[in-house]
Amino acid sequence: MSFQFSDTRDLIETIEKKGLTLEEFMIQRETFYQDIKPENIYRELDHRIETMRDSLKKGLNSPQYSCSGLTRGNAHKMHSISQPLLKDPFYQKALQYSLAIAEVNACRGKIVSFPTAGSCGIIPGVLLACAESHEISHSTLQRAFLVASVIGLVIEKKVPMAGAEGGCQAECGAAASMAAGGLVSAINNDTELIFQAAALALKNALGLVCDPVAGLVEVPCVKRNAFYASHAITAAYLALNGVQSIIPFDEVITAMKSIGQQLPTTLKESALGGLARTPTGLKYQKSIL
Amino acid sequence: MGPVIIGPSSSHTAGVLKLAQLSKIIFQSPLTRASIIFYGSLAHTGKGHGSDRAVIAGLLGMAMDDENIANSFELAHHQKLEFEIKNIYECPDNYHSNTVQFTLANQSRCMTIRGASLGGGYVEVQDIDGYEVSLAGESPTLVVWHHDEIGVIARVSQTLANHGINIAALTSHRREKGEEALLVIKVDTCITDEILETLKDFSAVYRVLYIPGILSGEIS
Repeated sequence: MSFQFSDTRDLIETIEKKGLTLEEFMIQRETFYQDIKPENIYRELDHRIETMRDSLKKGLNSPQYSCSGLTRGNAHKMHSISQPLLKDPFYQKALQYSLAIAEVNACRGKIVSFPTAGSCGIIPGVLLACAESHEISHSTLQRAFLVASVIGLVIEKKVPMAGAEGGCQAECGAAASMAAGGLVSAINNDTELIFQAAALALKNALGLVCDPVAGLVEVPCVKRNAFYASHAITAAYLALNGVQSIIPFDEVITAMKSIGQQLPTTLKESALGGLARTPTGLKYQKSIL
Repeated sequence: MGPVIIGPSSSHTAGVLKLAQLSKIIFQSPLTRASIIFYGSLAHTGKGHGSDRAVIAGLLGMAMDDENIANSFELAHHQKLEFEIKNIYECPDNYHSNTVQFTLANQSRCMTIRGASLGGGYVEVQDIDGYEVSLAGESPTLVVWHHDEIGVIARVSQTLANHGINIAALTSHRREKGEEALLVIKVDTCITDEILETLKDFSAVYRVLYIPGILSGEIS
């Protein structure tokens, strides 16, 4: 019994041969490698979902201000004011939730690093908002998180998820891809559609650089979580409507890897380029460090 | 799925803390002095990410989700751990862009351990006192320092087999024939104290270290 796979095609072949869903594959894989019972995996998963809910509540209910002054309680502000532009509560919530969790992270609060700390708002923001607005069951929510995890595993086969290695495309881009797949699974648990959404989201995040002001996970990271929550929803919406990515997911990941290698160090979490080197960015850097 | 952590960065905060935890475990003895070097991206942005606080928190054995990480310097002072942190901005070509080097010491032992924070809270210890290794702290691992002589590997693996332990990966490292060597064995199931005691009793074995794996209970 092997749970190794090299890419999406290989993974899909494996699960089809074993007659498993993506969720079942993930549970059996973890059971096999970690030598623990499936119920313990679900318990660990629930612990993480609860932690995400806690950070979400913290970010919404109390304004999050960071020591640097770069994070200024925007999620709390958005949550308390009703802005008529968006009528759909799901979309509004996804934006607020992802921002709230990212703000808690910036203020050194407790979060789940999924897939990374800098991009930790995107997946729970989208999936928890979906769970509330679409009234999906807890088991469907669990499945959505597991599907997001599988997508993360596929990406990590080729690209380490770190801004210092791949730029922000490997953090917020990867998170949006995982969130898009998880979101599709919550609405229509079709493996093909899930990976279409993942491909669409990642493809349209290629080239995203990591240029944080003063090297802090705040500007542009915090707000980028809200932007890429929206990005994930767009990808899921397109995929659910039958829109297909011309470039297959595996090739998109390879392209991301190659772009990451070509990106200069100045744009990979070094605070030596981009926004970090703007006059305002430098001003903040000087006053903070 | 990533671990529950205190932000703001999985590679620059949580990963660094985990590397420090692993290094402390590898040092295997009470720690009084630590000298840390951050390379590359960590040197550039470590301060902003709180990597300095995280690395000391890890050396003190604090968990990734400990809300006291921000106070680690004060706690270190309390626990009489002397430390210094240096930044080397130019990362050597063969180093990962998020590399940390630890020189850990007390009155009787001094070790240099180098590792990388790979992202998402995942880490790899890559060098122990000049031995090139690969330790992630994810699966139960046995590290044996021994005299380089015939039959040590056979006796160690036989002992594991006798106790029904399956070896997942085994690497052997030495600097010079007939001198000290290092054996790194990843296993599938937990190793009991009884087995460790048996291994320590072998005359060619200097030191045995067991890393139980999954330091913070994450599921991938």
